Amino acid sequence: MQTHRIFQSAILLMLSLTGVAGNAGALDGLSRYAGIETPPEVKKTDYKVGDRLQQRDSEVKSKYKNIVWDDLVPKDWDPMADFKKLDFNKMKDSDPRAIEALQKLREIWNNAPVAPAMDGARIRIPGFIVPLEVAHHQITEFLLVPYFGGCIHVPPPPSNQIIHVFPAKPLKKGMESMDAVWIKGVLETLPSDTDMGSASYRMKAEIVEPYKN
Amino acid sequence: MANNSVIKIENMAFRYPKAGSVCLDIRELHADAGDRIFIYGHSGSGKSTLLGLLGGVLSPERGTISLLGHELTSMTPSARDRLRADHIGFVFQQFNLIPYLSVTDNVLLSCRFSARRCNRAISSGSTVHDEAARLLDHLDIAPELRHRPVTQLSVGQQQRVAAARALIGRPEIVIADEPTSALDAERQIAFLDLLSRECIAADATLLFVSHDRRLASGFSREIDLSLLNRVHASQEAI
Amino acid sequence: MKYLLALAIRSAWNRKLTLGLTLMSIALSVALLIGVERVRQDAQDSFAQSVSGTDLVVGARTSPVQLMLYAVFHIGDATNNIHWQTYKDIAANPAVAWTIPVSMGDSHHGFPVVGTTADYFEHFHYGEAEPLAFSSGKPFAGLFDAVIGAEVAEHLGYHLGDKITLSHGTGDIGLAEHADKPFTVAGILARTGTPVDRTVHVSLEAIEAIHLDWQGGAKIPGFSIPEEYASKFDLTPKEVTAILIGLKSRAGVFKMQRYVNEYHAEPLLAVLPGVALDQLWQVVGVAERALLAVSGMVVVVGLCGLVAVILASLNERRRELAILRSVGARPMDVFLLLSAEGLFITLSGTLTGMVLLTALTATFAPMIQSHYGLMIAIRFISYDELGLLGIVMGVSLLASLAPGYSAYKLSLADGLTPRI
Repeated sequence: MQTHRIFQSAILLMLSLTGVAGNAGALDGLSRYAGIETPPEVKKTDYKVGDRLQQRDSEVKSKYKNIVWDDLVPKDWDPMADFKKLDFNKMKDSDPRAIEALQKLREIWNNAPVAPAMDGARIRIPGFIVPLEVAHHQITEFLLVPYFGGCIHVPPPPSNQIIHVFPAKPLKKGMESMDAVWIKGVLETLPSDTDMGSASYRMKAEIVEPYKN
Repeated sequence: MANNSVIKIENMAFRYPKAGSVCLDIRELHADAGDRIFIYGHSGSGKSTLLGLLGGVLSPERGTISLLGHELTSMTPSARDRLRADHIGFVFQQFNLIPYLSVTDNVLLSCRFSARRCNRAISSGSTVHDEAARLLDHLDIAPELRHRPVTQLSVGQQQRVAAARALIGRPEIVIADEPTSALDAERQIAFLDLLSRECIAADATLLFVSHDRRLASGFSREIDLSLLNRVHASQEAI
Repeated sequence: MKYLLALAIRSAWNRKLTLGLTLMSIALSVALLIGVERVRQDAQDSFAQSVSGTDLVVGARTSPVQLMLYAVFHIGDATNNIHWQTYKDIAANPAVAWTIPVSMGDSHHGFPVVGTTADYFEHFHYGEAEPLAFSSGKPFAGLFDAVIGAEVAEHLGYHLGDKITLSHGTGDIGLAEHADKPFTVAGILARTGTPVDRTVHVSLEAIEAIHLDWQGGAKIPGFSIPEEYASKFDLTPKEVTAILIGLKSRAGVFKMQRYVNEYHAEPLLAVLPGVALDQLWQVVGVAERALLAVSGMVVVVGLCGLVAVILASLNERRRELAILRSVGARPMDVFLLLSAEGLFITLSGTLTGMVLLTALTATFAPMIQSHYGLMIAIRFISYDELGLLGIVMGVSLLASLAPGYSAYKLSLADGLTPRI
């Protein structure tokens, strides 16, 4: 009889664990193993290359200021200034000046300055993940870019449209390249340390959460 | 008289769900405490149905069945199951025992499903196991058999163990459905005597159903089910 | 209620031969399912751990996945090499903090040989920014010094000072050897759990040296340069297979990537390791999910077997159920009894399966590590696997209810006197 009492307790324990594990795991597991790799709120396949994330004016009071990517660009900076000066009507076909101007523009974009006013701002902003460091399936360091496909298909974003993010906690398992997230934290501007390098943004993100509209 | 009766059936008719006609129709049947009733019924006379109704697993389409003052027809199925557990002990013709339980555990089965039987089985100073042992003793089951698997017992021994299970906890009603039919002739009388003696000692009402009239002597009443059942009576009249 | 559990266990134990077989089939199927998932996760983890702190991996233009495979994991071959001048241009870029050039193509007893510079031992990191450590010896100083990974040392039984010969090419057998220029083991790296363990590292100059008297993949017959004269030749490398790059500012990675991809002199590809790995998982993901689905179906088959066995036994148990009804069991109790039996078997089967898997993992993990460089962790269960197990338990619960329900209906119909 004693052995059967032990069996009984074991069975009851397993049943409770089943209940717990089943509830906790089944939903989580089902979503993951059905091949839905991204957080259920928004599927990665919803985005096309070049898509940007919508930001509605938030009615929710938050201690993080809602900013858009354009806010990261200094107000007085106009990279198109020289480009606009060109009169394309006066050029012949395949005019080398056109390509030259385009390349110069690209260079300017690559060395885009940061907006000093943003240093120390407590903000929230949505974007897409480019993972830099991964440990045990969890992203521990990443770049945030404004649009989908930013590292493969379209020209990469200028340096004032990239945020180097260090999340306070490693991201949930299952997050991967081009997942859409909100980051919340204090933004820092880092000066450039080389003459050809450029200044950049960095954040020790307090919160990183999947993007929901 | 109504308050003392242990079993009281009045104007009861039963029909199986898919059957066209009523198969059991009893105007009146009663039993008092301590009665020992022999019910003569051959197969097909409706005795299985009667047992099912008394046990509360079947519900009549009209009439009343009362056990110990409880009106079965107005009780929920699980209340009837509880009543059966608390107040009735059954002995069947054969295959009475659960094959994967020991002899003692088979006897104690009644106590597992009824706290009342459990409590009644425990007199001061003893446990249910002691009570089971006592009954098995009375029913002539040797101690060395008690922890054996029941499949190693003879049919006669199995029937006696079944009787112990039916009697433990002193239920008010014991219903035995052809309990001797699988036994040898010599043992039939012996079993009957044992059962009767224990029922008297426990002051239980015994309903003994059998097709063997030779066993009828010694009972306080004899009922012919085919006469009691108005369905058959009317058919025979035709 | 508690007693029903005891009855269920004893009833199951009574039929342990037949039920034991279904239990084993459930155990095996669960071991398979969780095992497949575990290998999947650990393989991914292993791959991801192989490189850390590297911003870009550069190679001749090919697919990102292929580049990662040969440059970091030493699996497969490069389509082309990179000219030395290109490497110098890239290394001179002001955005670059450090570079590690690597050159591949030779092997040693099946282990890949990688030519690189001293920068490798300083800048290469793995796991969570772990640097490479030496369990004995130091980086190469002499021309024919080799630094070997922990697995190479263990598998081939090498110690400091041992002489080894490299083979040309990366096949398994029948390779031509660079027998005239043996290498000395100058350093043995501590175990990392990455492909580094399986690698033999030599200097870029050494790779040049051993191929001095080779042409087009074969030794020039009748022509041999003894090893002591090798250093008299200009051993500046002519090309490298791949370059690992660390930048001063990680945020500038796209800029650098663009620069490399658009490099005018030859077609190159620069990838971010994290992004390339994600692409690899996507490619493999389809096969992985198919495998998982098949394993899941095997579990379902096992559960069907159990349900069939219990249902088949129901007919013989009608008398037993009638006896239980007669002592006061309700039809619901009968349902619970049969369901508990099924659940008991599935739970025991699942547990047995997990134990089996742990035993198998413990047995085979060392072998997998030495052959493939994959670290399969030896553990009972992880949090993610618990989720999968939860699904198995949920399905088992449903399966167990089927015979329970059948018994319930049967008991209702039979009552106290089943007509068998």
